[in-house]
Amino acid sequence: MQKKAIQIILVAALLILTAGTAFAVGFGTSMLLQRRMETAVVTPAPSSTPSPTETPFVPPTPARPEEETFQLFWEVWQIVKENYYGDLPDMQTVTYGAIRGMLETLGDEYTSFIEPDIAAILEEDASGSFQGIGAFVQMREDGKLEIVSVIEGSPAEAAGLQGGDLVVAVDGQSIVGYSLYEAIILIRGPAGTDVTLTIERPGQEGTFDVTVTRARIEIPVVEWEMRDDGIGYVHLREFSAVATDQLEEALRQILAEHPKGLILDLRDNPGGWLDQAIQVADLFLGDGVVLIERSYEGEEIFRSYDGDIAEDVPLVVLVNGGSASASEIVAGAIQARDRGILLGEQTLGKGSVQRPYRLSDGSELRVTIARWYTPDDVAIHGQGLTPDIEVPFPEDTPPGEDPQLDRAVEYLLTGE
Amino acid sequence: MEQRSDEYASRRETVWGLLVWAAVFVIFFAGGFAAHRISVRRAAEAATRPMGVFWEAWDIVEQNFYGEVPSARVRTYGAIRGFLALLDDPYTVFLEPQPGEVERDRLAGAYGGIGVDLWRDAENRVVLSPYAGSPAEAAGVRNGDFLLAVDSRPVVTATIEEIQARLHGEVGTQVLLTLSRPPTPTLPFTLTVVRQQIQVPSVSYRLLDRDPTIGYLAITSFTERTPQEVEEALRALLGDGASRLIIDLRNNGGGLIQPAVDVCDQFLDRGVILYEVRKDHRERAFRAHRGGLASDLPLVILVNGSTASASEMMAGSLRVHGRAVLVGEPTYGKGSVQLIFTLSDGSSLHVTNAVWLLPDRQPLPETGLTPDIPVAPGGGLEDVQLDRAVRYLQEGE
Repeated sequence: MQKKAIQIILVAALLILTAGTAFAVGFGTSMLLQRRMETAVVTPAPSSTPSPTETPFVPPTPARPEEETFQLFWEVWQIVKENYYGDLPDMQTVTYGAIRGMLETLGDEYTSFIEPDIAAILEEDASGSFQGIGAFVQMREDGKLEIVSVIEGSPAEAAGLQGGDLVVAVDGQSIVGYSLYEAIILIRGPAGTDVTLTIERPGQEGTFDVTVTRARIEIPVVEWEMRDDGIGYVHLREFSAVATDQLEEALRQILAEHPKGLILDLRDNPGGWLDQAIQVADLFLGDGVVLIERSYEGEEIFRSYDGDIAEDVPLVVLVNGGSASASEIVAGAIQARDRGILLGEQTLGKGSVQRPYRLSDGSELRVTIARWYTPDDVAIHGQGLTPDIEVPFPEDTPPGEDPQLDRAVEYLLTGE
Repeated sequence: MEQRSDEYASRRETVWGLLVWAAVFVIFFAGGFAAHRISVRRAAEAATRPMGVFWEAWDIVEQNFYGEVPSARVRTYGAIRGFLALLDDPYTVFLEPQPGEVERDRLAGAYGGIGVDLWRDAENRVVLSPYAGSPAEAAGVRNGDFLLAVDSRPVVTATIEEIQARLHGEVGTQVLLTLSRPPTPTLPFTLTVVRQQIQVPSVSYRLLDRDPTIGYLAITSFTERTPQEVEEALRALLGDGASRLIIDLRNNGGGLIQPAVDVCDQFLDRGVILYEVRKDHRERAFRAHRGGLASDLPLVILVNGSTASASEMMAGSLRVHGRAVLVGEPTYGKGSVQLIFTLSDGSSLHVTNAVWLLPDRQPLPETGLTPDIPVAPGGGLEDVQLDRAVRYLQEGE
């Protein structure tokens, strides 16, 4: 009995040993064959000028029919590499350039590629908060970063920074000539850490340093005012992830004062998240359709429901050529369902929906995946919305004046 | 008997054992072989990692884009353009195959002419000069004949380009010329010329009839024959008494650089004509040699916006050497060489292979060379730029 057991163990051990050896020999055979093939290919054509710094790049062998077509790209790449007079960009830059060129052929300006650094910033912004100093900035033509305004209660405000200040260096490193996003990357950082900005202030000699402690900043997207004439005014800057919450809070305070009417300002609002647009529209609309979305997956109807705080107050929506995407969804639904009137100028006409895809290296691809239509099934793509009352905003309007806002107030007070 | 059966059984067991053993070996050998192959493929894929992001984007677009996705070929062309755009060089370009083009040329048949040079003289008459061995010469056209009409249509108000267009036509067809000849310029006669395929020389020349001390030499492009043609022209002009020269490089779009260098050499005795800088800053200097036919003759070079590449380098180089004054309009501004490759699918690729530097080691300005004496072309039939060049040579300003 015991003998038999030993025999079985021995046989099993022999088989395992055999299997292992066979596997190793198989693996080794393939390796040897491979090596012999490589030497056969490589040795006859040694590089005449061996340069140790340059890693030879072998274009991939096509694994599918499309890559077969794409071999032409490698043909070009090889020729340029061997013959082009100037320097070639690195492979990552080449990849990004190729992606952009490929997207170009789609003929859709909204399908776009965003490099990792910028994608990170945009994603942070769209979340509604970020870690930094709390200032709105823009890049001037002379390559200096200008602080446009500081967010109320932010570290930037506490440190005494003001609109008009120019940031010329960050932590001693000059940022003159940097791109907007390169500068922002340096200024942002984890909450609690310090950053020293070298500031040039118009009207003052020389520069001075300001040290700011970074914090988590909630980006304010809503500004509101209860006017003396009894009209409530609320301005939505963009449809970030916190748009509905901030807007609802503002509306709560305005409505508590029983306004005669409400002005929702969507001028120069470039849009944002689709779900925020639907929720914002829902704040003003009862049961019904907000928009119809058509994609390859079919048709989807997004609805609004009864029971929100601003479904009855008389409403004017201010729009202009900078009102795009999510702004047009909200304005379009309000107009199509006769919930209020649009006043101002023709909107941009971006009736498509993009979905962001994160690629493996952190870059982002925004792809148009659907078109949307107003509740009465009108496509606004390329057309835009025409206001019920068209009021231009002349270039030479004196600062502080707003003919569109004035007209909206007049309409709400007089009914025409 | 029993023992035998035992033996038989044990032998059978051994055979079975061997078979099982062999089967196990074969199966695992194949397994090992395959495992290696797969690992090699994975590694190869990882080596092309940078473009991996490209394929991610490619797949996402294909699966999700709402709208018509162009063919893989079109998207590949787009990717190539996107790559080349990074080089920031307007002359490194990708051109899609144009199957219609060759076909069109074939159908149109060979293009012919009669082989004459023509210009307007001071009295606005159209003067002809037949190329040696041309159909025009064979039909009896002589140097200095005046052209009055082509196929009975007068040429009085036509531009030189319009007249040339009328003389051109399909090989084998006839054209009727109405001419007159100097001793009796008021006595017209006609000649019929059969159009043939013409080897157009890149150089034409004559002494100006308003001032026979000035030789006029026009170079339309730089081909392999150009240096020889220029040499013959210079010998003829100098032999006829030219003591100063106007070189017309207007509308000369360039061509080969070595002929341009050889032509420059006729006007220089020493020094560098130009530098050519290739990939990795490898540099080559083209030098002048002693014994140029016209190395001390006063020179004016006519240039315009279509004076490009090799011809711009010639104008620029002779100016840097203090050998020529440029009259006309700013030149095109292309101081680089492209190689042209035909790709496997018939598309073509132009790649900037080298840039040229003038003798003072300056590259050609992107905005082109600014003439020393700017002269706009003027709308009429007379050549005001040529007039200005003549005046400069006569009056020294």
